[in-house]
Amino acid sequence: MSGSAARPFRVIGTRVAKLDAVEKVTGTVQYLPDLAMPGMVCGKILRTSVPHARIRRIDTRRAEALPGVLGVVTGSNVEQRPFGYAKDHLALKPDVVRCIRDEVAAVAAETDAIADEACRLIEVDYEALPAVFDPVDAMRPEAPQIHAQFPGNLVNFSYKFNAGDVDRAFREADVVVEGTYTLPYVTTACLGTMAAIAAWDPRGTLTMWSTTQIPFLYQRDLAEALGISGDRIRVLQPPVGGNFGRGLDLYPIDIIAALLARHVGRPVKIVFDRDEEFLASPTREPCVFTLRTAARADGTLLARDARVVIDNGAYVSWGSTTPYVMMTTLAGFYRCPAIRFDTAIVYTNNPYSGSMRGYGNLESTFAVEAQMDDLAERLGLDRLQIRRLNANRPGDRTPQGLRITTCALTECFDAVARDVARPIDYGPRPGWMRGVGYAGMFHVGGGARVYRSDGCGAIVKLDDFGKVTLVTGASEIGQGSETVLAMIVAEELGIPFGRVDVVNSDTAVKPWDVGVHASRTTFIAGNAALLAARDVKRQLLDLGALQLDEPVEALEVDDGFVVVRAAPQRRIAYDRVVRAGHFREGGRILIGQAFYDPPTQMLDKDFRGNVSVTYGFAAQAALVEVEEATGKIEVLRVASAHDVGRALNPVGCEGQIEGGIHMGLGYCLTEELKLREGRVLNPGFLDYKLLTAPDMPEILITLIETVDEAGPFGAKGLGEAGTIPISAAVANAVKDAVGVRLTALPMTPERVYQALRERDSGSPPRRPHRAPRRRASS
Amino acid sequence: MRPPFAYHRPATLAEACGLLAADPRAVAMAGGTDLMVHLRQPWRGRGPSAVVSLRRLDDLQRIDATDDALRLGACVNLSTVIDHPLIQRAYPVLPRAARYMGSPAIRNLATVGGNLCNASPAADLPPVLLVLDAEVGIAGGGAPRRLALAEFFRGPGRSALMPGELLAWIEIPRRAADWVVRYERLDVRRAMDIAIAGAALALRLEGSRVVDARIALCAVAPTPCRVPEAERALIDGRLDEAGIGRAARLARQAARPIDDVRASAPYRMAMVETLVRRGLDEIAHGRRRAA
Amino acid sequence: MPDQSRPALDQYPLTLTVNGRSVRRDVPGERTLLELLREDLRLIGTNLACDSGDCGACTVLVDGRPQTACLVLALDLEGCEVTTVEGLAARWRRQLDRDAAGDPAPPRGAPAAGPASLHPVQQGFLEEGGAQCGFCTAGMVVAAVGLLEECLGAGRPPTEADIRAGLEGNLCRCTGYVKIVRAVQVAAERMRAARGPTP
Repeated sequence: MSGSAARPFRVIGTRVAKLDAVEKVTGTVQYLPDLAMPGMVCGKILRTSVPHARIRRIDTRRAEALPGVLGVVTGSNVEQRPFGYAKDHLALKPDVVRCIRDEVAAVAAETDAIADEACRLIEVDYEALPAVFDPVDAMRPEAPQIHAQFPGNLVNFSYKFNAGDVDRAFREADVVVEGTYTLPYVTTACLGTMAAIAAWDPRGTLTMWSTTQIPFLYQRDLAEALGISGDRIRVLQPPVGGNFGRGLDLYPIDIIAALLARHVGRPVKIVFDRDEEFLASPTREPCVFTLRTAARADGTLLARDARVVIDNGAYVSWGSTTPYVMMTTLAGFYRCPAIRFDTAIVYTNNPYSGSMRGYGNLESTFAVEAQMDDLAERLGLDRLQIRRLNANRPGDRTPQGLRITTCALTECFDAVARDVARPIDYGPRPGWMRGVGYAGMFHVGGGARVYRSDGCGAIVKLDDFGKVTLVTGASEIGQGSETVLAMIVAEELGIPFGRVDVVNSDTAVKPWDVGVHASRTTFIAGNAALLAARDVKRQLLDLGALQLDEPVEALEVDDGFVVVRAAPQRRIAYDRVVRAGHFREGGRILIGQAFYDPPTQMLDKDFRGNVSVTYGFAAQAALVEVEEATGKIEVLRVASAHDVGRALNPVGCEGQIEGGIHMGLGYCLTEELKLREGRVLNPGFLDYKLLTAPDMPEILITLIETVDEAGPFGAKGLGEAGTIPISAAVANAVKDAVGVRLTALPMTPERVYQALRERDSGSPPRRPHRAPRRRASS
Repeated sequence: MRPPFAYHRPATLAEACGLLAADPRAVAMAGGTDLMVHLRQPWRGRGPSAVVSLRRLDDLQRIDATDDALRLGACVNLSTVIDHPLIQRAYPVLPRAARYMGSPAIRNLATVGGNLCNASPAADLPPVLLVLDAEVGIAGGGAPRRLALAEFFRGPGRSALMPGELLAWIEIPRRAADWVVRYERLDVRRAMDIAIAGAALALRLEGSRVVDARIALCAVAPTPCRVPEAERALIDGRLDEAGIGRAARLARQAARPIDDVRASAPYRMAMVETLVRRGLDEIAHGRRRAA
Repeated sequence: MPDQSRPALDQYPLTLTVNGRSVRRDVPGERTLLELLREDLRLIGTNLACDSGDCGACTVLVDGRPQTACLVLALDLEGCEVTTVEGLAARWRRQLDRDAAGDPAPPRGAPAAGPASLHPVQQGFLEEGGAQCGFCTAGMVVAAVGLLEECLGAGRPPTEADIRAGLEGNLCRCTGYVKIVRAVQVAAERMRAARGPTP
């Protein structure tokens, strides 16, 4: 699927502005909160004030009587059906609330202020129930049961994987390292909050404007939750202020907007405010990851044994399927023949986790890469050498059966080793110790068959102005997917990039796609677009052949013309070919279409199969300084090298990596959604700390092009790669700098400080606490 | 969204105080960077009845330097504190402290007076002004009154202002040129953050002998506070390793922080010691180099 | 009115300039500048992201200085001049026109022409890839304009550290700030070339 261009590319690999960049820099883009329509009213959700409780009484009369209120819905006055992966969730809770997010009522009113006031007038009596906030406590027999149908608070997903003889490998190993890693709640913290607009028409068709990433799955799930057929729902996706995995499920806001709109007979818009976004937007799954790794004296990995306990929260969403991905890294990143992997996914009365960029791979990589360094230390080996020794290579099959085709992992490590070591013109400040750490990653790069379908449809239309329109199932969530798809079509059709429009935001128009996740869009939607473009090109050449009176084989496309290869002065521009083709009797227009569903298999019940056509690899190196007296960490430089197949849109690739590093560094150093007794303590940007511009290190990126023949023009997926290894690289760098292995994130100054003092009290200090008095230059 | 309130924009200080005295539920607003955030809290039906905007009170924006003192109007904003040549020359520690706070856009709004009246235990300007022996001028009620800054802070979020009163100015007495003043705080990211602990130091030295000393802390007690025990331990002593260590430990012992979402109490106490020791070290070092 | 127990409150007259045009409205006391812009004037380019001044997405220029509009009461801006993202291109053109009017020599270096007429900062974001989802972009661009006008006006071309500090109050979740900083550097060069040292 490499594309037909034999000569250098005209569009692929060039630096272009995103298709929607002008709208964004001028402020003309309309996000969902900017939209208004006749008759639209404001919706607001009332949430519980107690994490686990029975609702004794709800009285909405005062709210309903408030002037400007159109209606109030609760769990008892609407028809709704359970939704969610485990069907354990109702949008409006009629009798029991299970976490502080839980929605008990919703108001539709003329203005936000009235809706807000109305919510305050709703009286709810809660009878608090015993609650449990820690997965370990929740697994005890005496723990409060959160869902009657799931005794023991265990979500009944089993992720058990076994390969090889793990116990024997551990017995015979020369070295065994072990560790337990504690990974926190973080949240996508998109600048644009979750929102939904619902509008029913007189025929009973529902139109939703949503921040979803999975419009077709959402369409089906929402229909089921509302008790209507899916063909009566149309989903529109306005430009969104970020997503990063947030939009991968159906959520109460969507169902409630639809219920409210049906109840009051007006379009309803609900937009989360910032506090609500931190409270109610899905988080990354917090987990405790216990890992043992066995190796030979020369550093060859023999076995891994892992158990992960995941805090699922009150209802099942995608957070509980992240073990699929955790397992992929545990079982496949670096060559390791014997694997045991098991999980316990536990209901608690905490807010439930969803999907977030990296999808379990951050946690898994953190554990795996910590232990690669630990092994190197125990065995007296160079940390890069042990990685090169065990690195995946082209042609490998992992114990699960994943087929590695293109793979430049070793080259990625070589690149970051070189870049992180570039000269730096200042030494460590007094009192600061410097260190370097490495980590790599492996992730799906050619789609991900986690649903039965991994396909995406594309339609390409060439009109009689010579303008091309790509109608793609893939959604744009700000990452630039429209842009790279337009580049692919432009390249294939031999036209400038600016001649391609992309349509992708209406389920009534665009062909089916499973959704934006798993870094799949460039690969899958790209292949679909490429195939559809080829289809159009064939039709174009057929028409051109007639008009130029030449055989098709004698023709080619070049810069918007159909050209006779041997006599290039004989050419017709596309617009004329197309117009002549349909402005006549028996005319035809040019539309190409394709549905690309990759040749992969879902994992079977033993978690074996090959879910992706190809896999992406990357390595990162971090140069850090740690201040002994305070525990502060500063990351000075991150080198990040990626096996991308082909960098179709270099600006886009870099942007994804740079943004991914920001998100990963936040996970590593400063971000944590703090819960106490199930309540969120820091629902705001002041105390949920995203890194600011001055906090960011120097970033050095290398894109390695292995040109994967399965990808569109050789490309592989990249969207999550920048985020995945960075925490591990920084933790390894901190170990290098000050000799402490931090196993919990985020590595706040306080945590580092505690670890440093434990180091000091546990053994004679290996390094001085206080640097000699050397005055730093101002 | 904020709850509904009336709006007044008085032209004089007297008018402003009169509005506040007449309506106990009215609040004064200068830059609004704290108040406008507080107003977002789900309001249980009782918001302020009115906001009295101080934006047009030119008197509160004055900066006056005399031989005896530098006087800042309460509504001087933090960007002005950073950029104003008088302040930069006379008290460079003030721009340094202001740079820790917020961001450029916030500093274009936030005022010195607002920072004091909000009376957050973690505010950055109070410890600096305390070691500068600042006094404040309060208008309204009866006659204008002058108060030592140390008496201005009564508790977390509580100042000495009575109903109908406004903070009018902050006055910093001139000192001999041989005072050295520093402020440093510990935080987690480089902007838009709040102190986990902060220490302001002011020393007057003759050679390496400490003639006079002021130490003030923020974020480690219900109010910003001086540490007289540590100051006494330094005065008349030498600024050597033993003296510095003793003062830093006394500062740590005087701190009474709480655990909160930003940090734990033990860590804050440890950081007080680190910040005070480091600040005194750097003063000693600078001194040594100058000699 | 929101609360039956509270008497209806007044609206107050307000006159100010927004993007070069005089605006006159009656607004309630609690109306923020951000609400005035987005809801009353339908200038939706400036986004609401936190309503607490913590993220900078709502940054606008008030009398040329960046402020977070969510923290400003509209009534406090009587007689002031507000510039939003929608007014940046015109602001730049006015500045060039004023230079040309006051200066017998024509300006050095023509401003780069974009597909629409753009401020050099907007043009820089376009060329360098400074916007991904774009939600922070309006505030980021305006903050950058404020920063560059201040630095270049003082004859002090900004360093990278200056740019990062100038944007420290503007959060971005998509870009890691790399291309944003680059865009502002490119814009600074262009602005300096076009206007030279400004009075």
